[in-house]
Amino acid sequence: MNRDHGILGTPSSPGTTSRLRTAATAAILVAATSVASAQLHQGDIVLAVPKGAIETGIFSPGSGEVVPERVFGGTFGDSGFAGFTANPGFDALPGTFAPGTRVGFDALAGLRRFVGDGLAPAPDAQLVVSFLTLSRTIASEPLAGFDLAVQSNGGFHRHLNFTLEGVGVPAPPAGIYVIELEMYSTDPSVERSEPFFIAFDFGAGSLARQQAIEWIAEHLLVPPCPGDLDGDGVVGGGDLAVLLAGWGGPSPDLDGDGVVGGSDLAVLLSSWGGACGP
Amino acid sequence: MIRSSWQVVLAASAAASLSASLLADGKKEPHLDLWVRIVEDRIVTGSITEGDPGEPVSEEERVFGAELGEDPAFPFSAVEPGFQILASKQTIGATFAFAFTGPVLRWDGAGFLVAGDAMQLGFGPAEATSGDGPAPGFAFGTEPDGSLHDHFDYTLIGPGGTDPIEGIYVLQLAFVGESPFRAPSEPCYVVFNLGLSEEDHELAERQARWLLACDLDVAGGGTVGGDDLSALLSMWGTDDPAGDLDGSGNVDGRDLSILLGAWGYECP
Repeated sequence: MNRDHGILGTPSSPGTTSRLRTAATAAILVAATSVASAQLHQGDIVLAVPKGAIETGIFSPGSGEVVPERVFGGTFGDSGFAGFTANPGFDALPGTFAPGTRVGFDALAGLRRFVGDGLAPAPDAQLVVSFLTLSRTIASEPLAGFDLAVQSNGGFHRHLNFTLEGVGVPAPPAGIYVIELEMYSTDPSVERSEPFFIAFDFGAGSLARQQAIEWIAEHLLVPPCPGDLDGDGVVGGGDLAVLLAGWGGPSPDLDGDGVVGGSDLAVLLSSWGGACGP
Repeated sequence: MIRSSWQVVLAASAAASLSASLLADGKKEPHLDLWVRIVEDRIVTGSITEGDPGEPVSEEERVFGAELGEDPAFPFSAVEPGFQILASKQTIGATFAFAFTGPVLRWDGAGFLVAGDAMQLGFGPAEATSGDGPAPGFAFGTEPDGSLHDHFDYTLIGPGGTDPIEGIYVLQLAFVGESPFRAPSEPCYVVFNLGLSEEDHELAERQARWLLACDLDVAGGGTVGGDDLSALLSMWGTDDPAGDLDGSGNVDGRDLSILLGAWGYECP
């Protein structure tokens, strides 16, 4: 496989969420985008590349738009097979990716279980992620995943198989099992996605899953660090240099007014010296 | 190659006529999923667009096209067509199953024959492989709202477990409502292309409609003959899809030629 494992070596763990790469603008994710509803699947993880990086979202049938999202849900047994689901799938509109390239995933952390106020290791369980002959098992450690071909029209619609297995026990205990993934493209011009999470319900119920999703969204999704233009994790002189280099131009437009100017400088200075992430 | 007793062969003249019409059309059919429906306690297959839920295209469809090896990492596999059941009260908690209604067929340009190929279908822990004749598949359930949208794994296996050769292959399936019971569907056919041209694929799909789904039997008597001719002539000049065998949008001389070319053909 021809790809870059990127930040796979810096996984997050409970309480120490991985630092999110900062974008050159304040926006974290794709702006809501109107799409043809028939081409996207409700409940799937929608992939888009609006600003050179893969971004994840969900399709909202009510508005016909893609809404940025980084925490998703799945339910084992939703097709009648205990401990198995093929949902959520991954979905991208035609033209999203270059035909001939591939899109794949890496697991940024081992399999974890929601414990009410956090995520804990799940040593008695592992998650097999497979597609036809390719298979990876997410156990206690981060894991390089695999990639699949983009469709000839530049779209991507694939459902990976997720199978929960017991480790040392016939079946894992009921609970909400969580994986943290990152999507990548083999197209060198497309950057990796921000980390995102899938919370799977294994016999714990949809209410417990929703609690897990809300906890993750509140505690593990680090807000953007708009002033960290050079991505070093701190807002400082390097970032100021980047901003001044773009002065008068369209980027890095921190306040979204379309031009780099004094108001962008104010945004940067307001977080001067601050570290990004926990 | 051993031809089975029920092998279906199309007269060369009709095949040539069809080829010309397809080349003239030059249209590529969009990908469609297989729509499993319940009609009066029996299963009927139709076609539906991708999407969740998709938009129904045809309430009754028995022939579907798909490509093997679109991803070079899986040269003999596909995950299309998907299967969809639309959400409804009558399908909540229901279990369905599919079965192989016959062996995998190989297209030879004029018809379909048994050549020892097989296809393995998988979905999660479930797996089934076609055989020399009818063979069991596996069961699957609907989601809480009664809907289903799944993509099974299809992998073609050549004779004796070898890698399959380039060609066009037909998977024969039927669906049944297992719980509660719903009578089985008519057989439906997935026409897989492995490395041949789109024109060949479309021609094979059209021949599958004629010969396997037996659209040539216009009057429904089981054999292509006088009653079909009479029925077709009664549709002459119309756009009745039952008589529009070449899909040109009009029942005309080309449809007549196709029907006459298969005169005496007995539907499987």
